[in-house]
Amino acid sequence: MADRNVEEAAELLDRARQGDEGAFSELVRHHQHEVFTLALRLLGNYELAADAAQETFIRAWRALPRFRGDSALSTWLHRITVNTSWTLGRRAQRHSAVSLDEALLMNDDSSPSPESSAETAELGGRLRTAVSELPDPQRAVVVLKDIYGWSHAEVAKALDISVTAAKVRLHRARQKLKEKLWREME
Amino acid sequence: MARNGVNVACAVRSHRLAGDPGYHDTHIASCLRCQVEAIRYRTLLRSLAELRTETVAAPPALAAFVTSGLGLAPSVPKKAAGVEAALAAAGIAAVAGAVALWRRSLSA
Repeated sequence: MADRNVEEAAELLDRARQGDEGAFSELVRHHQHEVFTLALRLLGNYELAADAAQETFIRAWRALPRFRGDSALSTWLHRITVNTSWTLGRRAQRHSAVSLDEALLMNDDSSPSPESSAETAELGGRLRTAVSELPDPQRAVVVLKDIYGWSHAEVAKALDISVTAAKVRLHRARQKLKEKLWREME
Repeated sequence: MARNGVNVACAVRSHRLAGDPGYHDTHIASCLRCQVEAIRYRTLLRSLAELRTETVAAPPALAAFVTSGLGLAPSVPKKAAGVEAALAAAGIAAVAGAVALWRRSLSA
């Protein structure tokens, strides 16, 4: 079953690379939530994230002939999302109409695992708020490194900063998050 | 030596743990404050990693907007068609040139 899904996804990608708009639309429908979530986490603004997600897919369509499949399609889309979000974020100076935390609360369609406790859920809720309140540069590093599991080098390259700068930002962001999460409990 | 009630040795470990929550040494092994700090950083990292599985539903019109915008973007077939046309034109020019040279060699 899984193999069949992989085959179907590969065929869809192949057709999209050959210019099949229908196949690409299918890929958009499949990846839109993940791309939008990453953009929202990076930008903290619902409307701006929607613009970033749309722009990401348009850029992906244009760049598809150059996609050689060295990485997974989702990984490739994530890189484009980060670049697009970063560009749009720098351009937009307005404050968010709907905060990241509110958006996550409104749209959270993830089902909790059986072992998740109320305490974990509470920590998760406070963590989402704390992440959304970080300054943009620190939030971007935490999102990419600690949530999406990118390496320091990948984060540095995507954000056009040095590896040392990425580590320093991450360090400060973690300290802030830790202080925010446990200060209330003390 | 203490600052704000926190031992300097503990402050140093806290700094290291922020960069590497798995960091461990003999001080941490014998210091309850640092062990709590280590647990907090590890919990923080685990909770952040768990956020990866959460997705926020994209706006309902997103896919439709993207699809309608594809026609405006330079599409793959158009690019490919452009390359093919350029290659065909180059081929025709090369053949015409070869014919011209052949005729010139015949008349000479």
